[in-house]
Amino acid sequence: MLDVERVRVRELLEQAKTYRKRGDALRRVGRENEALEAYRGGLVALTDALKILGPTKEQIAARSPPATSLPAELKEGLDELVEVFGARGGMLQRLNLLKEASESYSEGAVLEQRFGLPSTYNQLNAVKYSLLSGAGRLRDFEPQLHELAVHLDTNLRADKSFSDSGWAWADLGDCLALLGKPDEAREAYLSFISKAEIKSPERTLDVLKEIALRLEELADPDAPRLRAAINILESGISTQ
Amino acid sequence: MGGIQAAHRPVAEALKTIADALHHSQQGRKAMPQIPFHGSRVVKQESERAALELRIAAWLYLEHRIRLPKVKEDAAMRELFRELGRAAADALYDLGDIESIDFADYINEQVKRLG
Repeated sequence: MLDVERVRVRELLEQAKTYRKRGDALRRVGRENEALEAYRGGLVALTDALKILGPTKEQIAARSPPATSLPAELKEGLDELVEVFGARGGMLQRLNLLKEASESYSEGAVLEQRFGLPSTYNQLNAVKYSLLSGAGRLRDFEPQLHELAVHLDTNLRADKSFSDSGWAWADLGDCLALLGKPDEAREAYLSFISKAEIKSPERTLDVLKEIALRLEELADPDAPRLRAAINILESGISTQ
Repeated sequence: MGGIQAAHRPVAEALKTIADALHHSQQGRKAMPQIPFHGSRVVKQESERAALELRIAAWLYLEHRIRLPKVKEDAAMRELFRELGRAAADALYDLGDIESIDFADYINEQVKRLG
């Protein structure tokens, strides 16, 4: 990837972030049509970023893992691709295009898994949106969630800069909460709240509430795990 | 004799440096807060808010004191104007009240106008 393309991808990711924040703000004050317009703007930016990353994606597909064996330029491209798939999934979900959101997360998840990246954002969201779309019961995803929790725990212990990221702790908290381990989830969520920006836990809470409602609608016997997670996160935020 | 270091940094840059120390605009992506006692919600809220106000001050300084035609001529200043504007707008959207949303929209329009 040329330097100018790399700069353009970063610029598009930043643009998408601004569209997303604008959309979220407008949705909160009830200006739904303008919010949808903002999310669509963000989706265009992320689709453009994916187009630029197309040749990088092909080069990466032809390479063998792990990510550490990739030339620096391709490793950077891999990180950008994973970030774009994750951000695109979030934008599609806000547009209520759950199937497309799940596909975008799945594409990112394949890369995260294949190259053993420390981040699990796409993998965990692929599970969350499978739950939201009713693709299975919470119990069906336990092996996957357990694997993600072990992977996150190992990397959080080994990698100081990864451990500085609030989002990695949020992912670990979510995995443990979904696995029905509230005490361990509490520890992870407290680290998340401490390290993240002030607004971040609210977004996590919104997603957990959405999944809880869906599982309750589907009479999933493990739906109470989500309610427990919501309580933990809410009490963590209020006592901070 | 060669050039000597300026006695002070340009105002907008100096304000941005202080803002970044309180709350870096890329913090959400990469790292944890750099301020002491970041485990406290009040401390974190205050530092994020102070960083926002400093960025707004720096951005308005460029817009009204330096003026857009001059900002446009200088690549580094243009980039600073864009970067400050985006970080301020994102944080204003997070605040979420109507006045903040409108101000963020205004900032984005001005940044777009600059190209």
